[in-house]
Amino acid sequence: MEKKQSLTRDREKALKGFAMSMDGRLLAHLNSCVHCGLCAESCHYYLSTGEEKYMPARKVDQLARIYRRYHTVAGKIFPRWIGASDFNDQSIQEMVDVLFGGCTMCGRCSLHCSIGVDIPFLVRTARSMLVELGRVSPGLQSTVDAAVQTGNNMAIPREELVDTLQWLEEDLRMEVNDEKASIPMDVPHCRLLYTLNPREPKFFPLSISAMAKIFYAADESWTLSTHCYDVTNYAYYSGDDHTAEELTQRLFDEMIKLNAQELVLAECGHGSRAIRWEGPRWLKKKFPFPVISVIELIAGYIHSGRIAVDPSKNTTPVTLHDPCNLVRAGGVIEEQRYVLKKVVSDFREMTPNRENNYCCGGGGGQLSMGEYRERRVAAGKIKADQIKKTGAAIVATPCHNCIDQLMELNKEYSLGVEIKTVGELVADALIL
Amino acid sequence: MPEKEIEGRIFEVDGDGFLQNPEIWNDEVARLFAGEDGTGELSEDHWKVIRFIREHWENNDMAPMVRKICQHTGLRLRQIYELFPMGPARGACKIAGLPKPDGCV
Amino acid sequence: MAESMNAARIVFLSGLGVFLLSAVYQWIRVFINANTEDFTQPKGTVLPAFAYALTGAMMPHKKETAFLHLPTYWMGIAYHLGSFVALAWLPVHFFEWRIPDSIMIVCAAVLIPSVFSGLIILIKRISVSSLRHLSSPDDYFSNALVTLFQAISSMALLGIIPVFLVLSIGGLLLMYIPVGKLRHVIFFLIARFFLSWFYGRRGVWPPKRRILWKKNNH
Ligand code: SF4
Ligand code: SF4
Repeated sequence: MEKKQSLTRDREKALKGFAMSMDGRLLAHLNSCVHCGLCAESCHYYLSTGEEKYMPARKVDQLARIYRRYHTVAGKIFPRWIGASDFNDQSIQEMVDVLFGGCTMCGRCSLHCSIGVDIPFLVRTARSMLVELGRVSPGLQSTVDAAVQTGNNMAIPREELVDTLQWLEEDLRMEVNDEKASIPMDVPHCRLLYTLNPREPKFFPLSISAMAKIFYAADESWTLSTHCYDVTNYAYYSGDDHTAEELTQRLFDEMIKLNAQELVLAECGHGSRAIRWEGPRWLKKKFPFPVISVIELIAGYIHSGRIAVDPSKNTTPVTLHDPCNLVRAGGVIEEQRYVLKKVVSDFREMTPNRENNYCCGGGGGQLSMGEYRERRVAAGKIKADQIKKTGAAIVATPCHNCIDQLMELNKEYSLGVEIKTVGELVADALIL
Repeated sequence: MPEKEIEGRIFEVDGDGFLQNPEIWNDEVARLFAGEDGTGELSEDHWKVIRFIREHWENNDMAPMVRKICQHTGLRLRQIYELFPMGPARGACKIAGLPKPDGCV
Repeated sequence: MAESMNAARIVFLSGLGVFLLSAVYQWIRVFINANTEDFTQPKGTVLPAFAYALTGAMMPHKKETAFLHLPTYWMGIAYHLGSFVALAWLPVHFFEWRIPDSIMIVCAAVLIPSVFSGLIILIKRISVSSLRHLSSPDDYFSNALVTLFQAISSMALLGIIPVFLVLSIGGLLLMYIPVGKLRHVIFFLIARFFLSWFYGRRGVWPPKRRILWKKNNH
């Protein structure tokens, strides 16, 4: 029996947390990888760098080898034989480097894995262990902290938000030439509570104006909350379930407080996924109100004729980038295509697309982890090439996180494109 | 700590290229950063934005909302995006020598 | 001869026992920790996704790991087919049932490409650096053990090798399954089920390519 190295207290705690989270799903995924290595070419990190450490299978092993060491008989007796290893400085360092710094949790590998190992799920489980050790990348952690402490991940003071929304409202009134057009704030009993990515009010408010215009055109009963509106949940990325739960609970409570009927999630991939698909698990309850993506909402508006649009108002060729968390892990797959085909006259798919689409490279919290920027931009090469091939001049994507990565790719790979939300294109095509 | 060399001067920056010691910032640094990240020659309008962001950060310890930038400089939103193709955060704030803001930027 | 056969039967039975005990233990462990309560609002259903996961999603034109590596994919299929055939023969050997020669020859014929596939996959694991760095001793050993078992099985079917050898190696193989990567035998379906749950509930699998409009639409 190979003696285990003794563990510090926080490592023991991390291992205990790991053991506690070991449900059937985790057990199945931890025990299934056959090291066939075929997943390598499904990962944009490996494809663009060729570095072995980025192979999805290696990422599986970062966690599986710890599992084998502490939870299997063979791993306790002859760890080397089955590739088990201690939870020590070296294995922890490698986890930080690759699982935080070399994976966007995009899930493309899992869709194609020979077995069906849920690789991002394992990566996130490992990240949860690193949370216990305080090894979350500082940029990611401070984004989480800002959300917890200030109610939004960019620490925007409430008055500033209100000022911005009023300013946008004035613009909207001028644009649609109607004094009654509005951006409602904290209005109770509306049909919809809409959310925002704090990046919108802070730096890129055109997408808010666009949505306000669409709501105006649809004559919707909607409101924003100025207290709790942040659709993002970076704790999903950091692996911190406790905080993720708290952030979700706040939005849940705001829904109840404002007594809205539906929660509408802004164009944000991970936020949509976190609230809609992970949130109920964190809160351990069903949401008594529907939670939908704004893309589904807009598709419904167009389908039912509630808004009228004219594709000849957008004649520039447009391609679509599918955000992994909204599409592959969120099932909003056809809606954005339906919408774009209705609002632009030259829509071009990139290949591969839909659930097979490549990650832009900005997921997994990478945008907040500056220390890995070079890798992130390098890994984005696949996406840049995909965009170039379409010849489109506008890339639409329903995710603010993707937008920021695409803006960088645009510069780094001289793509010469414009990046827009889907809502912005819809707003431009509206017939009022 | 990564470093960035522009025209023979070496700056300590974070991974995203934001200045690590904001106190060494001056007009010269702004010019160098702008040249390096593709913003190019700084016009009068660029300076209005940069100075306002800088001032706001020095007084409030955070980057201003883009609304404030517009209101204080008299520029329109779309003009700001044209002046700084990388956007107010990765473009203007970086040139103004601010640390990287949190969030999806 | 009868003595070695009886010894082989004991090895086989112990192997089978170890394998079954371990499999049942793991299945129970997964089952009682299955956490089946899903509070999310579904956009699709799980069972059709599971059906798709075992059919459409495994097809080479859908599965990128397959269509990017077609030779490996087909070798993998041959290899697994060979394993099933060889395992299916173990009870036959155990009870010394009589089976028509034609069937024996068909089975031997299935096993031959399978053995070669196993060997090539092993050589690949040794020679390709990314696979080598991914592998532990168990990966080579498991691959070699299964290939050896298949080779001996085919030779026994052709009457070149005595049956008790197949039975003993088969027993040892069964015994070894729970130790290393071969345990995917126990977990494969479960992992695929959980992945189908994920994609099915979210409406990703099976691919629909159309929107299911809700009645009281917006
Ligand atoms: S494809 Fe799946 S089983 Fe094969 S190495 Fe990758 S993760 Fe493991
Ligand atoms: S989740 Fe995405 S980034 Fe991570 S290993 Fe899989 S393909 Fe690569």
